[in-house]
Amino acid sequence: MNIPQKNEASLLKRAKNGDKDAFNLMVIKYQPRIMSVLYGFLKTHSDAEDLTQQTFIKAWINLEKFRGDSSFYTWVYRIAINLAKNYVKKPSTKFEKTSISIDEHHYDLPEDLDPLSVISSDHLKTELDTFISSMPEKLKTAFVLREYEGKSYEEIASITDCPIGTIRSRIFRAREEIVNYFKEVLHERD
Amino acid sequence: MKEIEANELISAYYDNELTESELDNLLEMTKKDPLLLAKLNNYALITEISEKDEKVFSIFEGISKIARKRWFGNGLSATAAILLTVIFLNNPFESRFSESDIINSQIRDAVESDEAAKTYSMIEKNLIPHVMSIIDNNSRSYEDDLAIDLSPIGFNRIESNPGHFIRGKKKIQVRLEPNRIGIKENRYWKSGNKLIYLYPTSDGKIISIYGDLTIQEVEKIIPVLTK
Repeated sequence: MNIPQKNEASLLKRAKNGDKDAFNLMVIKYQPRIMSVLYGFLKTHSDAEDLTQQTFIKAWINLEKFRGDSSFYTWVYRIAINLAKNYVKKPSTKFEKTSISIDEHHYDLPEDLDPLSVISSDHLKTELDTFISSMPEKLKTAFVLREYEGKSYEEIASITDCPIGTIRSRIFRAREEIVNYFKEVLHERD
Repeated sequence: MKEIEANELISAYYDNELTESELDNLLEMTKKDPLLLAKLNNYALITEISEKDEKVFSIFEGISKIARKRWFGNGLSATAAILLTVIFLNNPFESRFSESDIINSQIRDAVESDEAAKTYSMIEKNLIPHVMSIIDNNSRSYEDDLAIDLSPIGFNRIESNPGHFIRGKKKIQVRLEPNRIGIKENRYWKSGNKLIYLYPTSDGKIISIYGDLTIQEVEKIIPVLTK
Protein backbone atom coordinates (compact mmCIF):
# COMPACT_ATOMS: atom_id res chain seq x y z
CA MET A 1 0.00 0.00 0.00
CA ASN A 2 1.23 3.45 -0.88
CA ILE A 3 1.12 5.61 2.20
CA PRO A 4 0.93 9.34 1.59
CA GLN A 5 4.18 10.98 2.60
CA LYS A 6 4.78 14.33 4.11
CA ASN A 7 4.84 16.13 0.79
CA GLU A 8 6.11 19.33 2.31
CA ALA A 9 9.07 17.75 4.07
CA SER A 10 10.06 16.05 0.87
CA LEU A 11 9.75 19.23 -1.17
CA LEU A 12 11.74 21.18 1.41
CA LYS A 13 14.54 18.68 1.28
CA ARG A 14 14.63 18.96 -2.48
CA ALA A 15 14.42 22.75 -2.37
CA LYS A 16 17.31 22.94 0.08
CA ASN A 17 19.32 20.98 -2.45
CA GLY A 18 18.59 23.71 -4.97
CA ASP A 19 15.51 22.32 -6.69
CA LYS A 20 13.62 25.48 -7.58
CA ASP A 21 10.72 23.53 -9.05
CA ALA A 22 10.12 21.87 -5.70
CA PHE A 23 10.25 25.26 -4.01
CA ASN A 24 7.92 26.69 -6.61
CA LEU A 25 5.35 24.04 -5.84
CA MET A 26 5.26 25.23 -2.23
CA VAL A 27 5.25 28.89 -3.24
CA ILE A 28 2.17 28.49 -5.40
CA LYS A 29 0.35 26.57 -2.71
CA TYR A 30 0.83 29.31 -0.15
CA GLN A 31 1.01 32.40 -2.29
CA PRO A 32 -2.69 33.33 -2.16
CA ARG A 33 -2.74 33.00 1.61
CA ILE A 34 0.35 35.17 2.04
CA MET A 35 -1.01 37.70 -0.42
CA SER A 36 -4.27 37.81 1.49
CA VAL A 37 -2.46 38.45 4.76
CA LEU A 38 -0.37 41.19 3.18
CA TYR A 39 -3.37 42.76 1.49
CA GLY A 40 -4.93 42.96 4.93
CA PHE A 41 -1.95 44.91 6.18
CA LEU A 42 -1.28 47.07 3.20
CA LYS A 43 -4.66 47.57 1.55
CA THR A 44 -3.29 48.01 -1.93
CA HIS A 45 -2.98 45.38 -4.61
CA SER A 46 0.40 46.50 -5.82
CA ASP A 47 1.98 46.57 -2.37
CA ALA A 48 0.52 43.17 -1.50
CA GLU A 49 1.83 41.78 -4.76
CA ASP A 50 5.28 43.31 -4.30
CA LEU A 51 5.66 42.11 -0.76
CA THR A 52 4.37 38.65 -1.61
CA GLN A 53 7.07 38.43 -4.21
CA GLN A 54 9.65 39.72 -1.74
CA THR A 55 8.48 37.26 0.87
CA PHE A 56 9.11 34.23 -1.27
CA ILE A 57 12.36 35.58 -2.64
CA LYS A 58 13.54 36.11 0.91
CA ALA A 59 12.37 32.63 1.79
CA TRP A 60 14.30 31.13 -1.10
CA ILE A 61 17.45 33.05 -0.27
CA ASN A 62 17.25 32.09 3.40
CA LEU A 63 15.98 28.57 2.96
CA GLU A 64 19.16 27.10 4.39
CA LYS A 65 18.40 28.87 7.67
CA PHE A 66 14.98 27.26 7.92
CA ARG A 67 15.45 24.57 10.52
CA GLY A 68 11.98 23.09 10.37
CA ASP A 69 11.06 24.05 13.94
CA SER A 70 7.80 25.37 12.55
CA SER A 71 5.98 24.55 9.35
CA PHE A 72 7.12 26.14 6.12
CA TYR A 73 3.96 28.22 6.00
CA THR A 74 4.53 29.58 9.50
CA TRP A 75 8.07 30.52 8.62
CA VAL A 76 7.01 32.25 5.42
CA TYR A 77 4.14 33.92 7.24
CA ARG A 78 6.58 35.45 9.71
CA ILE A 79 8.77 36.69 6.90
CA ALA A 80 5.72 38.29 5.30
CA ILE A 81 4.54 39.88 8.53
CA ASN A 82 7.98 41.29 9.26
CA LEU A 83 8.23 42.71 5.77
CA ALA A 84 4.78 44.24 6.15
CA LYS A 85 5.59 45.73 9.54
CA ASN A 86 8.78 47.24 8.21
CA TYR A 87 6.94 48.55 5.22
CA VAL A 88 4.21 50.14 7.31
CA LYS A 89 6.83 51.79 9.51
CA LYS A 90 9.01 52.80 6.61
CA PRO A 91 7.28 52.70 3.24
CA SER A 92 10.56 53.29 1.43
CA THR A 93 11.46 49.66 2.19
CA LYS A 94 9.19 48.69 -0.69
CA PHE A 95 12.02 49.64 -3.00
CA GLU A 96 14.36 47.14 -1.44
CA LYS A 97 12.88 44.74 -3.91
CA THR A 98 14.98 46.29 -6.65
CA SER A 99 18.16 45.23 -4.90
CA ILE A 100 17.20 41.60 -5.38
CA SER A 101 17.64 40.02 -8.72
CA ILE A 102 14.13 39.13 -9.75
CA ASP A 103 15.44 37.39 -12.82
CA GLU A 104 17.45 35.08 -10.65
CA HIS A 105 14.53 34.23 -8.42
CA HIS A 106 11.53 34.47 -10.62
CA TYR A 107 8.25 33.28 -9.23
CA ASP A 108 5.66 34.72 -11.53
CA LEU A 109 2.78 32.35 -11.55
CA PRO A 110 0.40 31.19 -14.18
CA GLU A 111 -3.00 32.40 -13.16
CA ASP A 112 -6.46 31.23 -14.01
CA LEU A 113 -8.35 32.89 -11.22
CA ASP A 114 -6.88 36.25 -10.40
CA PRO A 115 -5.66 36.19 -6.78
CA LEU A 116 -6.14 39.90 -6.30
CA SER A 117 -9.72 39.77 -7.54
CA VAL A 118 -10.46 36.93 -5.19
CA ILE A 119 -8.74 38.46 -2.21
CA SER A 120 -10.33 41.86 -2.56
CA SER A 121 -13.82 40.86 -3.71
CA ASP A 122 -16.72 40.87 -1.29
CA HIS A 123 -19.38 38.26 -0.86
CA LEU A 124 -17.46 35.44 -2.55
CA LYS A 125 -17.80 33.30 0.56
CA THR A 126 -21.57 33.52 0.36
CA GLU A 127 -21.45 32.64 -3.31
CA LEU A 128 -19.16 29.73 -2.58
CA ASP A 129 -21.44 28.41 0.14
CA THR A 130 -24.46 28.73 -2.13
CA PHE A 131 -22.69 26.97 -4.96
CA ILE A 132 -21.43 24.16 -2.73
CA SER A 133 -24.94 23.56 -1.45
CA SER A 134 -26.07 23.05 -5.05
CA MET A 135 -23.38 20.52 -5.86
CA PRO A 136 -24.07 16.78 -6.14
CA GLU A 137 -24.22 15.26 -2.68
CA LYS A 138 -21.19 13.00 -3.07
CA LEU A 139 -18.93 15.79 -4.30
CA LYS A 140 -20.21 18.18 -1.69
CA THR A 141 -19.64 15.76 1.17
CA ALA A 142 -16.10 14.89 0.14
CA PHE A 143 -15.17 18.53 -0.44
CA VAL A 144 -16.68 19.86 2.76
CA LEU A 145 -15.08 17.16 4.88
CA ARG A 146 -11.71 18.00 3.36
CA GLU A 147 -11.80 21.74 2.96
CA TYR A 148 -13.90 22.76 5.94
CA GLU A 149 -13.36 19.93 8.38
CA GLY A 150 -9.71 19.25 7.53
CA LYS A 151 -10.23 15.50 7.34
CA SER A 152 -7.66 13.32 5.63
CA TYR A 153 -8.61 11.30 2.58
CA GLU A 154 -8.42 8.19 4.70
CA GLU A 155 -10.82 9.62 7.25
CA ILE A 156 -13.24 10.75 4.56
CA ALA A 157 -13.07 7.32 2.94
CA SER A 158 -13.91 5.77 6.28
CA ILE A 159 -16.76 8.18 6.97
CA THR A 160 -18.33 7.75 3.55
CA ASP A 161 -17.42 4.10 3.16
CA CYS A 162 -15.73 4.71 -0.19
CA PRO A 163 -12.27 3.88 -1.53
CA ILE A 164 -9.64 6.58 -1.04
CA GLY A 165 -9.21 6.88 -4.80
CA THR A 166 -12.88 7.72 -5.17
CA ILE A 167 -12.61 10.37 -2.49
CA ARG A 168 -9.58 11.88 -4.14
CA SER A 169 -11.43 12.02 -7.43
CA ARG A 170 -14.54 13.56 -5.89
CA ILE A 171 -12.57 16.28 -4.14
CA PHE A 172 -10.79 17.07 -7.37
CA ARG A 173 -14.06 17.20 -9.33
CA ALA A 174 -15.65 19.41 -6.68
CA ARG A 175 -12.71 21.80 -6.90
CA GLU A 176 -12.95 21.90 -10.67
CA GLU A 177 -16.66 22.73 -10.54
CA ILE A 178 -16.00 25.49 -8.02
CA VAL A 179 -13.11 26.95 -10.00
CA ASN A 180 -15.19 26.99 -13.18
CA TYR A 181 -18.03 28.64 -11.33
CA PHE A 182 -15.81 31.39 -9.96
CA LYS A 183 -14.17 31.97 -13.30
CA GLU A 184 -17.62 32.85 -14.59
CA VAL A 185 -18.52 34.93 -11.54
CA LEU A 186 -15.31 36.97 -11.64
CA HIS A 187 -15.45 37.28 -15.40
CA GLU A 188 -18.96 38.74 -15.18
CA ARG A 189 -17.77 41.22 -12.57
CA ASP A 190 -14.97 42.37 -14.85
CA MET B 1 -0.61 10.88 -18.27
CA LYS B 2 -3.94 12.43 -19.17
CA GLU B 3 -4.52 16.04 -18.23
CA ILE B 4 -7.34 15.13 -15.88
CA GLU B 5 -5.08 12.72 -14.01
CA ALA B 6 -2.39 15.38 -13.74
CA ASN B 7 -4.92 17.81 -12.33
CA GLU B 8 -6.13 15.25 -9.84
CA LEU B 9 -2.54 14.84 -8.68
CA ILE B 10 -2.34 18.57 -8.13
CA SER B 11 -5.53 18.49 -6.09
CA ALA B 12 -4.15 15.66 -3.99
CA TYR B 13 -0.84 17.49 -3.56
CA TYR B 14 -2.76 20.51 -2.32
CA ASP B 15 -4.17 18.23 0.35
CA ASN B 16 -0.75 16.82 1.18
CA GLU B 17 -1.97 13.40 0.12
CA LEU B 18 0.54 12.33 -2.50
CA THR B 19 2.84 9.38 -2.21
CA GLU B 20 6.52 10.07 -2.81
CA SER B 21 6.38 8.53 -6.28
CA GLU B 22 3.33 10.63 -7.15
CA LEU B 23 5.17 13.71 -5.96
CA ASP B 24 8.04 12.78 -8.27
CA ASN B 25 5.57 12.47 -11.13
CA LEU B 26 3.98 15.79 -10.33
CA LEU B 27 7.31 17.58 -10.23
CA GLU B 28 8.27 16.08 -13.57
CA MET B 29 4.97 17.16 -15.08
CA THR B 30 5.15 20.70 -13.76
CA LYS B 31 8.70 21.05 -15.00
CA LYS B 32 7.52 20.13 -18.48
CA ASP B 33 4.31 22.13 -18.30
CA PRO B 34 4.39 24.98 -15.76
CA LEU B 35 0.86 25.96 -16.77
CA LEU B 36 -0.35 23.01 -14.73
CA LEU B 37 0.53 25.08 -11.69
CA ALA B 38 -2.38 27.36 -12.46
CA LYS B 39 -4.58 24.61 -11.07
CA LEU B 40 -2.71 24.69 -7.80
CA ASN B 41 -3.10 28.44 -7.63
CA ASN B 42 -6.84 28.05 -8.23
CA TYR B 43 -7.26 25.46 -5.51
CA ALA B 44 -5.43 27.67 -3.04
CA LEU B 45 -7.74 30.52 -3.98
CA ILE B 46 -10.79 28.39 -3.25
CA THR B 47 -9.46 27.97 0.27
CA GLU B 48 -9.01 31.73 0.49
CA ILE B 49 -12.63 32.22 -0.52
CA SER B 50 -13.84 29.59 1.92
CA GLU B 51 -12.06 31.38 4.74
CA LYS B 52 -12.58 34.84 3.39
CA ASP B 53 -15.16 36.24 5.75
CA GLU B 54 -13.51 34.54 8.66
CA LYS B 55 -10.13 36.14 8.41
CA VAL B 56 -8.64 39.09 10.08
CA PHE B 57 -7.85 41.21 7.08
CA SER B 58 -6.35 44.02 9.02
CA ILE B 59 -4.72 44.13 12.37
CA PHE B 60 -4.25 47.86 12.08
CA GLU B 61 -7.77 48.79 11.14
CA GLY B 62 -11.19 47.32 11.01
CA ILE B 63 -10.51 44.47 13.37
CA SER B 64 -12.98 45.63 15.96
CA LYS B 65 -15.65 45.74 13.29
CA ILE B 66 -14.88 42.16 12.31
CA ALA B 67 -14.85 41.12 15.91
CA ARG B 68 -18.22 42.65 16.56
CA LYS B 69 -19.56 40.89 13.53
CA ARG B 70 -18.11 37.49 14.22
CA TRP B 71 -17.99 37.19 17.96
CA PHE B 72 -20.53 37.16 20.62
CA GLY B 73 -20.30 36.63 24.29
CA ASN B 74 -21.21 38.15 27.59
CA GLY B 75 -19.05 41.15 28.15
CA LEU B 76 -16.87 41.08 25.08
CA SER B 77 -14.24 43.73 25.47
CA ALA B 78 -12.36 45.28 22.62
CA THR B 79 -9.12 43.69 23.75
CA ALA B 80 -10.62 40.28 24.05
CA ALA B 81 -12.30 40.77 20.72
CA ILE B 82 -8.99 41.46 19.06
CA LEU B 83 -7.32 38.55 20.70
CA LEU B 84 -10.06 36.06 20.23
CA THR B 85 -10.83 37.10 16.72
CA VAL B 86 -7.26 36.50 15.73
CA ILE B 87 -7.12 33.24 17.57
CA PHE B 88 -10.29 31.66 16.38
CA LEU B 89 -11.05 33.15 13.06
CA ASN B 90 -7.82 31.71 11.80
CA ASN B 91 -8.64 28.28 13.02
CA PRO B 92 -9.25 26.96 9.52
CA PHE B 93 -5.47 27.15 9.20
CA GLU B 94 -5.09 25.01 12.22
CA SER B 95 -7.58 22.43 11.09
CA ARG B 96 -5.99 22.16 7.70
CA PHE B 97 -2.37 22.24 8.66
CA SER B 98 -2.36 21.34 12.34
CA GLU B 99 -0.11 24.26 13.03
CA SER B 100 -0.97 25.83 16.31
CA ASP B 101 2.17 27.89 15.99
CA ILE B 102 0.57 29.77 13.12
CA ILE B 103 -2.16 30.89 15.43
CA ASN B 104 0.31 31.65 18.17
CA SER B 105 2.41 33.82 15.91
CA GLN B 106 -0.70 35.62 14.74
CA ILE B 107 -1.74 36.24 18.31
CA ARG B 108 1.67 37.64 19.09
CA ASP B 109 1.58 39.82 16.02
CA ALA B 110 -1.90 41.01 16.89
CA VAL B 111 -1.06 41.75 20.47
CA GLU B 112 2.07 43.56 19.42
CA SER B 113 0.15 45.67 16.94
CA ASP B 114 -0.45 49.33 17.59
CA GLU B 115 -4.20 48.89 17.91
CA ALA B 116 -3.89 46.06 20.36
CA ALA B 117 -1.29 47.95 22.36
CA LYS B 118 -3.56 50.96 22.71
CA THR B 119 -6.49 48.88 23.74
CA TYR B 120 -4.45 46.64 25.94
CA SER B 121 -3.29 49.53 28.02
CA MET B 122 -6.84 50.49 28.77
CA ILE B 123 -8.64 47.40 29.92
CA GLU B 124 -8.41 43.90 31.20
CA LYS B 125 -4.68 43.59 31.44
CA ASN B 126 -4.88 40.38 33.34
CA LEU B 127 -7.43 38.65 31.19
CA ILE B 128 -5.35 38.61 28.04
CA PRO B 129 -2.31 36.74 29.43
CA HIS B 130 -4.66 34.28 31.05
CA VAL B 131 -6.54 33.55 27.85
CA MET B 132 -3.29 33.44 25.91
CA SER B 133 -1.84 30.89 28.27
CA ILE B 134 -4.87 28.70 27.63
CA ILE B 135 -4.71 29.10 23.89
CA ASP B 136 -0.96 28.60 23.90
CA ASN B 137 -1.67 25.26 25.51
CA ASN B 138 0.83 26.08 28.16
CA SER B 139 1.78 22.68 29.46
CA ARG B 140 3.12 23.60 32.87
CA SER B 141 1.58 21.72 35.76
CA TYR B 142 -1.20 23.63 37.41
CA GLU B 143 -1.34 23.30 41.12
CA ASP B 144 -4.99 22.37 41.20
CA ASP B 145 -5.14 20.17 38.13
CA LEU B 146 -5.22 17.00 40.12
CA ALA B 147 -8.38 18.22 41.78
CA ILE B 148 -10.19 18.12 38.47
CA ASP B 149 -12.22 14.99 37.99
CA LEU B 150 -14.54 14.98 35.02
CA SER B 151 -15.11 11.25 34.96
CA PRO B 152 -18.72 11.65 36.19
CA ILE B 153 -19.53 13.24 32.84
CA GLY B 154 -17.37 10.89 30.80
CA PHE B 155 -14.21 12.94 30.30
CA ASN B 156 -10.94 11.14 31.00
CA ARG B 157 -7.71 12.88 31.90
CA ILE B 158 -4.97 12.90 29.24
CA GLU B 159 -2.08 12.03 31.51
CA SER B 160 0.59 13.34 29.18
CA ASN B 161 -1.05 16.74 28.95
CA PRO B 162 -2.01 18.37 32.24
CA GLY B 163 -5.41 19.96 32.23
CA HIS B 164 -6.58 18.19 29.09
CA PHE B 165 -9.47 15.78 28.97
CA ILE B 166 -10.99 13.59 26.33
CA ARG B 167 -14.38 12.06 25.73
CA GLY B 168 -14.60 10.19 22.45
CA LYS B 169 -13.24 12.56 19.86
CA LYS B 170 -13.92 15.62 21.96
CA LYS B 171 -10.87 17.13 23.63
CA ILE B 172 -11.12 19.97 26.06
CA GLN B 173 -8.81 21.92 28.29
CA VAL B 174 -9.88 22.65 31.85
CA ARG B 175 -7.91 24.63 34.39
CA LEU B 176 -8.66 25.32 37.99
CA GLU B 177 -6.41 27.85 39.68
CA PRO B 178 -6.43 30.87 41.96
CA ASN B 179 -8.41 33.73 40.47
CA ARG B 180 -5.50 36.06 39.85
CA ILE B 181 -7.26 37.82 37.01
CA GLY B 182 -9.91 39.07 39.36
CA ILE B 183 -13.03 38.57 37.31
CA LYS B 184 -16.20 38.46 39.35
CA GLU B 185 -18.66 37.02 36.86
CA ASN B 186 -18.51 34.21 34.39
CA ARG B 187 -17.27 35.23 30.96
CA TYR B 188 -17.37 33.40 27.69
CA TRP B 189 -16.59 33.91 24.05
CA LYS B 190 -17.75 31.72 21.29
CA SER B 191 -17.23 31.47 17.55
CA GLY B 192 -18.24 28.45 15.55
CA ASN B 193 -17.57 25.40 17.64
CA LYS B 194 -14.92 27.02 19.79
CA LEU B 195 -15.70 28.26 23.23
CA ILE B 196 -13.68 29.80 26.02
CA TYR B 197 -15.51 29.89 29.32
CA LEU B 198 -14.16 31.47 32.50
CA TYR B 199 -16.00 30.80 35.74
CA PRO B 200 -14.94 32.40 39.04
CA THR B 201 -15.76 30.16 41.98
CA SER B 202 -16.96 31.35 45.35
CA ASP B 203 -13.72 30.16 47.02
CA GLY B 204 -11.45 32.48 45.04
CA LYS B 205 -10.52 30.24 42.15
CA ILE B 206 -11.20 30.42 38.47
CA ILE B 207 -12.24 27.60 36.19
CA SER B 208 -11.16 27.99 32.57
CA ILE B 209 -12.69 25.70 29.97
CA TYR B 210 -11.68 25.71 26.35
CA GLY B 211 -12.60 23.52 23.43
CA ASP B 212 -15.28 22.49 20.97
CA LEU B 213 -18.10 22.94 23.41
CA THR B 214 -21.53 24.43 23.72
CA ILE B 215 -22.66 26.58 26.61
CA GLN B 216 -25.00 23.75 27.58
CA GLU B 217 -22.11 21.31 27.82
CA VAL B 218 -20.12 23.74 29.94
CA GLU B 219 -23.09 24.13 32.22
CA LYS B 220 -22.86 20.41 32.87
CA ILE B 221 -19.13 20.58 33.55
CA ILE B 222 -19.18 23.48 36.00
CA PRO B 223 -21.30 21.74 38.68
CA VAL B 224 -18.97 18.74 38.61
CA LEU B 225 -16.04 21.03 39.36
CA THR B 226 -17.70 23.12 42.01
CA LYS B 227 -19.52 20.55 44.06
